[in-house]
Amino acid sequence: MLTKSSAKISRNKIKNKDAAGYGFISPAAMAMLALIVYPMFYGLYLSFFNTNLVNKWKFVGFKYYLQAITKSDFYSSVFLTFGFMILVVAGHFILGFILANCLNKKFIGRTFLRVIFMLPWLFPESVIALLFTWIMNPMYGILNSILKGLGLISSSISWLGSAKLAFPAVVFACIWKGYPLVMTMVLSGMQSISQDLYEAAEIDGANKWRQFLNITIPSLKPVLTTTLILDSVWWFKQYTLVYTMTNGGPGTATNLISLNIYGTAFNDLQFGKAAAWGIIVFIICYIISKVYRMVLKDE
Amino acid sequence: MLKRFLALVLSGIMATALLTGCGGSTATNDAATDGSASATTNEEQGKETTEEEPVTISVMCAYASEDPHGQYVYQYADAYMAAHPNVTIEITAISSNDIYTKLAAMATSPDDLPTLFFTSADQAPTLYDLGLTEDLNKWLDQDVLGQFANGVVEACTLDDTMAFYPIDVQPSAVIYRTDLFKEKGLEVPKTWEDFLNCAKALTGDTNGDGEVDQWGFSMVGSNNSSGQSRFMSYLWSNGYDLISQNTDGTWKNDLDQEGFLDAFSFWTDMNNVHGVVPTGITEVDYATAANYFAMGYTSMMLSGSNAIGVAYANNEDLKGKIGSFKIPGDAPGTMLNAEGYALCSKATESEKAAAVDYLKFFTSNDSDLMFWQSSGKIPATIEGQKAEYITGDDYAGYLDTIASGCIPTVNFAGLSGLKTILGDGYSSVFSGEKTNEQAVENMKTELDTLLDDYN
Repeated sequence: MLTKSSAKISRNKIKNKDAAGYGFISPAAMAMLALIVYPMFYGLYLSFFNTNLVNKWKFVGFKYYLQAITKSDFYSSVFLTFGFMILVVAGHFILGFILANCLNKKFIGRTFLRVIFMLPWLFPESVIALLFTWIMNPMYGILNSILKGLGLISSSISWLGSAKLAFPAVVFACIWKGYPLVMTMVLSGMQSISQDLYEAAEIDGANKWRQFLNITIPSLKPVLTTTLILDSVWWFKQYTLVYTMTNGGPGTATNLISLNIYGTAFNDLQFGKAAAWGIIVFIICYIISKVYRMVLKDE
Repeated sequence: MLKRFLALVLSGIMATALLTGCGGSTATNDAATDGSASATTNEEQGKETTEEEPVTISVMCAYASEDPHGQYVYQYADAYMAAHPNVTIEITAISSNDIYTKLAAMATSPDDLPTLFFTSADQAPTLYDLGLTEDLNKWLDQDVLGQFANGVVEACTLDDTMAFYPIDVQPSAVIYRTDLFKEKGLEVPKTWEDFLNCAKALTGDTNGDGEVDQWGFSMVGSNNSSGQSRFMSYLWSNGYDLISQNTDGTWKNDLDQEGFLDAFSFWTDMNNVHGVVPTGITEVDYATAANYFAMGYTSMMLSGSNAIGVAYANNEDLKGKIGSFKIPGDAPGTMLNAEGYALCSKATESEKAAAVDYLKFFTSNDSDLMFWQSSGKIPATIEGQKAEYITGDDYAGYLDTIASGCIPTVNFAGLSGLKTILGDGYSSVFSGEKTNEQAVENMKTELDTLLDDYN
């Protein structure tokens, strides 16, 4: 009897604890419901209508989803975005790793260089986009001027006006903008690795490459997983930089899915179609994060 | 226990505050609905109440963001407020390329819409379709309407509704350097073939460094509204209407018209084959093209007369060296392109009354027409079109275009989508992504899909 009573008291305590917990999270939960869940469901609802959101509401069912599957403009834009994301994220990781390794060594002026290499992250995306647009301008850009001065080209090149060059040019600008995040995360991860491990490895005869593969990489894995997911999703959704530099052009050379959706919604006022594409992109982003977690899960 | 209780109470308060915040907008909407009801009552009481009651007119203005004429928008507003102390005019300067997108996004929350907003003839059908524009016929009497020049009121009218108040007209024509034409012994072109020949003659390497540094045609090749509108003008001048209405009111794709591919190719060949337009053409937007013309890099530009204002503002030496001519081609290549302010249908009656009064003031208060003169825009009124500054060679082509008759305002709500299709078409060929044939085929398919959504 005594045991039952104490169990009941214990259960009540847990319930009270739960109630307090729910109470604490309820404002945040309601804010998320209002600002994230509701817009998502509203977007899903819109995707079944041909609508301008004001006075035209024509139910079209799955028309825009079918269009997305059957017409090339959607999936070619998605593939382009995947290519863009892979190149940019790979660039961030390569550059970020190299610089983090360099800045992890002791030398005079290290702090100064750490600040300098962080600068691209501190500039707004629109500023960087405009800077690169001016640098690459075919009439008065400094890039053409330098290349001509070096004798590498004989006439001005339209970097952002050519279907072949615009995409790499935009990828380059995006790598330059985004590598400091990876560099900072990797650098902070490296600083938390105990030097004892490297000393032990040296005693065992491991060279620098083996140390990097067997100590640095495994120790950084949790940091790398998080950074990879954040960076991939961030650049998959990239809008500002590419919009400012090329507006998705020329033609469809840099027409990322985010620009495509924005243009469909706010230039062409086809909100239903844009919503359907947005839903598909959401699913893609969700799958990316799931796949990453599955592949990179901590052993 | 007390802590837990306090925590729960605080959480409750926060949640209630949040919900009140969310619910607040509904309450405001209700208030707005009530407000419009009471405004209707005010209308019945007579307009004299609007003269005393404080009224705020919010204006979303593309003129205000432009130089050198933007300053006069503020000056006129200040002058009006000085004469009408109960009226406050709040001007939000915004680029004309962004204003349409902004309004479309704001259309779902009518309380946030401005009382007046800038619009041009090619944006008006979409804004009218969204139900944002008040019919100005209700607010303007025959005396006021009679002040506008021939065809102007019709250019602002969609389905018998006067959708916006005209401030200026901007038909497209070609501005050109008269001194360079004379130097090369060129005649004003009447056909696009002649135009291309002139452009070729005016393209060359002037400093002898082996690289072309002067181009015949200041084409706007960027894939935005400015570039798309000019391309549409070119197509119209060649007799291609692009879309037409069936007897049942549905829209029909006219890109199958004979010769369309040749006309399309002629435009893209000016860059890809003949090289008579500046390098990096897809990056040349209106501002860049106008500056190239002003700085002497180019010699002809298809544009509204505002490019003359830009040219003079950037290079005073060009005064007396600029002429203009009608767009080449057999068909009219331009709408009258009236621009002005639309009155928001969602505003209260007192705001509408004050806003209309302000618009009348805007077009009548400045006898020197400084706003129009500095911008290079042509006034929409009969009196304004008699102004001294538009009597020279520089405006001759525009006045000739107006006199010859422009095509009526295209009342298609999906005009922006149509322009996007055209822009994607030429941009993909300029960049080497598609051939002319592929681009035209793609445009046809895209236009079918677009019309499907509007039919």
